[in-house]
Amino acid sequence: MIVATTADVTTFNEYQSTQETGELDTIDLLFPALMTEQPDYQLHPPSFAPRLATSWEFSSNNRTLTFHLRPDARWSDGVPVTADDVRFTFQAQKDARVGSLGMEMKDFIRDVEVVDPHTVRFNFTRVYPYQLMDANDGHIVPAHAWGKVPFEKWHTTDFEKILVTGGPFRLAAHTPQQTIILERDPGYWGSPRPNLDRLVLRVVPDMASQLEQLFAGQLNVVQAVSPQEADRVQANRDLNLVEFPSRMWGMVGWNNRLPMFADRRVRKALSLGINRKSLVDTVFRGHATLSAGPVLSSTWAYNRTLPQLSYDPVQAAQLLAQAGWRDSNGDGILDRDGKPFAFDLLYPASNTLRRQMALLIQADLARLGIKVRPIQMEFTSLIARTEAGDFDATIWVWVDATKVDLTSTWSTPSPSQGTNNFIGYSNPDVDRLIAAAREEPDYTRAKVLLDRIQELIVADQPATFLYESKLLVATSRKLRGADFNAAGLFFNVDEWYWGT
Amino acid sequence: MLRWSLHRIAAGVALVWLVATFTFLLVSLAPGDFATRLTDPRIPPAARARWRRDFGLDRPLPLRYASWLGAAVTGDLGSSWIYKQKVVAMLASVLPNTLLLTSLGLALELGGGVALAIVQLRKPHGTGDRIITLATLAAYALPAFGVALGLIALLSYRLHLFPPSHMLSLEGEMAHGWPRLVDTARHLVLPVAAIGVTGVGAVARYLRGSLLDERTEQYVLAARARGCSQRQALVRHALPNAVLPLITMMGMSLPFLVSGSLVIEVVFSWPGMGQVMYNAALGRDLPLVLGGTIVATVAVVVGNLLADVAYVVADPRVRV
Repeated sequence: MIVATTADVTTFNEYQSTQETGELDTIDLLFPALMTEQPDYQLHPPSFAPRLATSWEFSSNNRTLTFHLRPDARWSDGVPVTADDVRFTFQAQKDARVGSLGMEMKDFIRDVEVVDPHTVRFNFTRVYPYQLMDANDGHIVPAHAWGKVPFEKWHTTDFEKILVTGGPFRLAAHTPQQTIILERDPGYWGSPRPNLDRLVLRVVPDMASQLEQLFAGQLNVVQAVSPQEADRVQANRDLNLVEFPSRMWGMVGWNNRLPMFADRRVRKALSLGINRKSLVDTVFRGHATLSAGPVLSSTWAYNRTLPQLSYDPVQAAQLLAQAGWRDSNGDGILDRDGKPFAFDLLYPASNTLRRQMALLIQADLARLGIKVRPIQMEFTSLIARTEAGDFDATIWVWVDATKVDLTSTWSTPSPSQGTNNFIGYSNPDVDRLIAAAREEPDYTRAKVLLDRIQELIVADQPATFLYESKLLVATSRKLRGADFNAAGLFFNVDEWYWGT
Repeated sequence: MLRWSLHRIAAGVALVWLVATFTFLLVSLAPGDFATRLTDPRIPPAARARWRRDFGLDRPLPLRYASWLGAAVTGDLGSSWIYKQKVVAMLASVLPNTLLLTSLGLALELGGGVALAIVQLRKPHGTGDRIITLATLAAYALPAFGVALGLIALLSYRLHLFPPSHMLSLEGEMAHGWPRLVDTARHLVLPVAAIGVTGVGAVARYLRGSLLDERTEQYVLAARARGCSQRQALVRHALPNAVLPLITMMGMSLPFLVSGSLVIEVVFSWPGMGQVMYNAALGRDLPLVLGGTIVATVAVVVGNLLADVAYVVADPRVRV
């Protein structure tokens, strides 16, 4: 089984990783985790299935979480996986010298106690809805092998040289920038055990080459087919195309701090003035759905009663006029206080889909008398300018976590906490409700708060919500048993097998 | 000679320092840094600030520069921020792959160019000359990725003669000795051809032009008068003189030899410098970008030095 990937794994140690290239998918095949998060978050927060832990329970005050580990779990070198490994992993996750990306997820876990070799206890400093998820975040790493490297050296250590794994697969060979060969670990203790003997990840940076090699039979799985290529894949008798909702969604972020976008009537007019339905259908050719608000429609937290704004240039023009924008000098462009309604719309240079969106938005808004200048930028520069608030408008994409917490993206930016709310949206009512929702342990009660938050944000239209994209995975028709979903490419890799 | 050498080496060191400093400033002043890409709702925004502290990105620019330079002069180029490996070790692992590809590409370019130019000058302005001129100009004008994709479509997918990408097949990666070598050679054919096809035009054009000039020089006519054949006069007498501009051109190609062609490497999934440097630049991996830049600059300096030496050898009139 040969799977295409655009980039090589940069490290096999999750706690060194910048988590950019999907390498966590590979790490997940090599290392154990306490539990497996299930992609069943449509009606309630995700549930968890046993993995290294066979069972778990909370104390009566919910401040202590105890996991019971499989007694038969072994690392690839035969050493047992024990509660010591779990505690060691926690120490690495929390240590500032390691500086792991997920460090803040462990903020409310005070410590991890070894009760006996197969029982481990997490002590929390507070009770909140995502205790289980935060305890489970990150894979368990081998204390007996990696504990020999002092934490201050973790930044610069090549862990491949001291690789000890504990997953369904183990590393058979790695040629940098070329190939990762995984083979089934015969000593794996979990169940079910994979059917496949070998799983090969082949680095092919060019997406067009990935598809060509899939057509030629040199690759068996291509992870992200662009919507333009979907028909060509579907027409091929030897290939299968699987489509499922991703957690990626896109919007036009208006810089709410600028006088031009400060008035919510103007922002609503912009949303009404862009033919979103036609834009999404044109760019994604049916492989995306229209987005209504800040929460993914595939999650339990989505407010199903949210109004979907329709394309209404007449109402848009009225709202703009109410906000004081009219064409007083007859040049075809709206103006207010002598200033024309003109702005730059940033989008990443490498992304053709977003370029198409920018051009369609430009055309739609031109009809309202608004002058949009699409500007393409190198990706990192684009993020840097957006992060600094140095922009007018930007076509922005988020990939949401399964943890529903709107704090970083929609709460008023706080200088001390850091923020992902680059558009500078600020509504005190929303702030208050978000803070309440993230503390509410009962998800049905949290849902009431989240519904209200979504209504308020949609009424404010700090951004124009555009699309939720679907992921397209192309596979050889001989691959059977695969269940692709947003939980990751290899979610049920144990059940993959070769058909005839 | 000794003074000349010392002078050139000092100038070379100064150039490397200047280029490295300029690159340092360029990358540091470009919008965004290594932590910028952590903008992801799945990652707490506090992690960004933390990484900036951890990697020293919150310190003032002069301080960052001083500490980098201080380490660099002792030969310590640091560790890559993305790959967590020593920069020197990383470059040492990818440089041979690029050198293998580019040196063969340049050899094809040079050999093919010389051969074509000689064929063309059998009958200058004749039909053969015109056809070759047109073909080489067309190849020169084609974008490298277009040629690469064309070669892959025809020779790999249509005729199944050569593999379309990578340095080794999966079987080759497991093999040793002879089979591994043969496998590598098969994988080299298309990328080397892609480099050669686009570059051969330039070499042929240059050489044809200067050979045409030399042909009417008196020493060539004298050679002909002494009874040399047209071909002998061309190859033995005119060629050594006509080759001078080519030496300069090849000297200038040395950075390509080392830093590789990004386009060719991406299209052919070739594990070389071009890809690594590209990812480093996009990810603002400063130590890796600087390491790669230094290697490429040293190549330029050495290339020019070698070109000068080659000049002395090729043209006895040049003295240092």
